[in-house]
Amino acid sequence: MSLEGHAEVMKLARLLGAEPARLAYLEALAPADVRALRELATQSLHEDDRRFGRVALAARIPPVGMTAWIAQHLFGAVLCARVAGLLDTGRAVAIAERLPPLFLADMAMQLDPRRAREIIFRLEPALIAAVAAELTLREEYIAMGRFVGHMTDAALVACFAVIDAVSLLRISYFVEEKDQLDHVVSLLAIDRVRDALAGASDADLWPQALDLLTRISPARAGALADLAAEQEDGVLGGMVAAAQRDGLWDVVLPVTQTMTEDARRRFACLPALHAPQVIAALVDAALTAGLWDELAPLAELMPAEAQAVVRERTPA
Amino acid sequence: MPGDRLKAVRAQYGRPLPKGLRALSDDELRDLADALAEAHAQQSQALDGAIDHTLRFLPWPLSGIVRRVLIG
Repeated sequence: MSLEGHAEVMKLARLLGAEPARLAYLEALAPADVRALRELATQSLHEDDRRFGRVALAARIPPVGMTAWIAQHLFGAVLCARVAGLLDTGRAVAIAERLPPLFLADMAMQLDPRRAREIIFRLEPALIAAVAAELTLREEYIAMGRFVGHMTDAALVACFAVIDAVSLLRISYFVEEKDQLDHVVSLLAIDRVRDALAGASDADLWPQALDLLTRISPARAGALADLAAEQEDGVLGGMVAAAQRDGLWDVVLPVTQTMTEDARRRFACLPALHAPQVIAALVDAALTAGLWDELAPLAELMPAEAQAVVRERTPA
Repeated sequence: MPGDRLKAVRAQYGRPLPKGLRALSDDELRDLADALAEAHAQQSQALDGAIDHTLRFLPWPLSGIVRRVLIG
């Protein structure tokens, strides 16, 4: 199972309204295949949207305020989410601005953001942030991850202000495009990143944090890994435990390459890293995934006893 | 037969499937087709419910006409 594959299965399960455990067999497939399957399922589920075209036309007739009232009190969020993408963008924005954030949050959970991209781009950042705050309360991380690539920088920054750091980490796991995630992280204040990393152990989110490091540029991953290395032993011990439990050393080892020498030394001297079973897993990952060039510089910085265990475990 | 089941899933999803799905077992392919069918059923129920909710204030003959005008 890869982290990316796991995230893809969770997104597909969310789309189909199924329990992720039911679709666990898909984790054996390439993440790109699961993603392609989700794309097909999305198209299939939206194939009939055109039948709501007349509803969209009818929505042009009453004044905006009345249409917003009808949308909220008569149509409801499910129907509005289907019609939104069929409306004229200016009209849709004007209606959305008359709707309460709670109702827009209901809609957001049903909406395919790609079908309402222009509308989302033109909404006030404060309104989007209010909706994001509500979705955070509902723990709708998958839904929010889908929207990230369809928002302006101003809207993203407004959302960062109302979403706690740990929730941001949860959302990052479900962001669609790698390039977008790199840009999104660049908009985040360094203290928020530090808070997210500090909270990763308590919330058992190191797999998500490590996934984030693999989905951004090496330079930015290195900077974040350096921040991680600043954390207390207990926090980093949580990362080691998660990597050991979930078999993620093939993810961790490349990240250590992007760290500064000081940060790598700090990580290499972490007591949790020197447990024999951890070193065995590190060596196995290095041999299996061809990451010896990544392990060697880390091992050189370990205490002599740990280096001896690495040598013992390494085939001649 | 997995090949037949793959065709059934393809029919359900409407387009050529990712090649990786050939690695799935017959039961898994069946479940995948079922999952999408269930999602369609849930969606239809939710949308029908939403439309009924929208039209509930109109008297019966009118609600039927409005429904037909709006969504065919």
